[in-house]
Amino acid sequence: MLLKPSRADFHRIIHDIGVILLVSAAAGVFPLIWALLEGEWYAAGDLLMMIGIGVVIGGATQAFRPPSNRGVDWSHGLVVVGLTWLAVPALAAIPLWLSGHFGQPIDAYFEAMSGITTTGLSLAQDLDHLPVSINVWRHTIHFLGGQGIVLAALTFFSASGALSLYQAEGREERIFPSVTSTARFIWLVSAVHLVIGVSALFIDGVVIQGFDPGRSLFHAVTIFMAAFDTGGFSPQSSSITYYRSPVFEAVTAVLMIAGAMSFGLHHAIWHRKKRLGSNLEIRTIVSTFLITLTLTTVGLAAIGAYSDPAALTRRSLFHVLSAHTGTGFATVSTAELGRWSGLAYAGMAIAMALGGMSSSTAGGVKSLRIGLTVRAIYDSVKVALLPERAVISSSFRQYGEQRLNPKLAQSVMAVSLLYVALYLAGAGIAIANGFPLEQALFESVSASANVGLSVGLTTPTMPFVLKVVYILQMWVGRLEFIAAFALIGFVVAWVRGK
Amino acid sequence: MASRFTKRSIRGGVRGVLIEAALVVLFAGFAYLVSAVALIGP
Repeated sequence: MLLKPSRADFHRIIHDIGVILLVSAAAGVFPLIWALLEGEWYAAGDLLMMIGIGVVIGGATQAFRPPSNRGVDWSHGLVVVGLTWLAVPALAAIPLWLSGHFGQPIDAYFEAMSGITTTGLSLAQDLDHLPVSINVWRHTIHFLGGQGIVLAALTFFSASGALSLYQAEGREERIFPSVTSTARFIWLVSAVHLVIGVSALFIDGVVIQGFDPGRSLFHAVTIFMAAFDTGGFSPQSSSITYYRSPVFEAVTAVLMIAGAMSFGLHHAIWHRKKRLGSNLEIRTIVSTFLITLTLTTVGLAAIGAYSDPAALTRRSLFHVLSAHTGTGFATVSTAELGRWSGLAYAGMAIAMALGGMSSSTAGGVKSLRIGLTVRAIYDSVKVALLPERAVISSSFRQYGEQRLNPKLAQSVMAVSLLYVALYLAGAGIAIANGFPLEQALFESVSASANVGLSVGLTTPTMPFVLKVVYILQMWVGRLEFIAAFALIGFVVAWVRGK
Repeated sequence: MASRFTKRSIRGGVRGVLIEAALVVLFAGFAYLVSAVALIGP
């Protein structure tokens, strides 16, 4: 029997979403300062409007005081996260819509959802002339989503029931015993990469690109946020092609790798943990990366896209990294990417679908699930070949020896299958709207795995229904299904429960 | 205490970034090898 949520349940959920809206509104102060420094008064007004609405709604929700004796349980955490990832883009879309660079309100919501889910698909019109501060806001949304809005809220408010919210965001790994200390470590890793990454990009901007310091800082900060949070937005419509600098591409590649690494792996490297090479997830991601890199490189050579090994290496490595880490940066035009056929297309699509490591900002199926799925299939074949009485015990290394029991194998395979179904469903809807199979599948995988690479299907003139489908794919893909299902279950319980 | 923590964090962070950079170099070397073989032939 379904239990109808009580009034206290609603108070708890509304209160917690309100806290996260307040944090999101506070993040708007960063681009607001930039707007004031640049003298972009209209953009400053747009940002102030968003901050004001966020503060009013977030503040009003604090009147819904949850009972002091009830923390957040697992299902509340999931419902709060599911709703948060729908509500925050609505707030974040306000300055984007007011900027006048989006044809319809849904385009601004699409952009904000793409930002918060660290996807990187864009519907902005005349992006190259977007006010600097609004561009900073687009990238700040990436940073908010990548670091996890809930995680940010936990750091500053240390809310009760923190663990449920943290796990509901798909970050199962607890590096430290308490969530707050784990959150602090995540911020520390981000801060170190911020200092090193922004400095390197800033120097490249001033020395190689010839930018003035202010402009160089703008490009360094925005590209850092998009790369480290595996987002893929860029201040220029031509993405990383705009910079035409191998050094800039190399720094960006390092940041993309850092973003797709789990914070557990960052912790292990920082603390000189041994035997990392035997970890199932590390072995899997290195193997799948080398396989997709080989496919793409051989495919590009076969279609004669590049005749020089250095040029071919530069394009294939950057794009496979961009696809596998779920970033979505490009150093070729959308039209040129659309011409990558055969093995090159397959390599890119597979890399996007597989995604990065768990507990990272990357999307997709995730390497740990791929590794466990392959291990489970291998065990099943072994069971079939060995005598009936043989007992098979399967284990794997993931920062220590762990058992692969049937329950774990089943849940891993279920989520992997759900991702495949999501990829195919989006492709099917695009095909029904008249787009060719290859384009439809590429774009669907890109949206669901939160990558952001496009072969030209995602434009402001695309059908309305496809915009809605991609918004849902980005949302479900980022939440790894469970929080989305919990939200649907909560609504059903509200309507039909007793 | 605080300065020891800061020193350890900086050391850990720099080690992490250097390993990430080394990975990019290794992957680039691998991609170059594959490119050369694919373009010129084995």
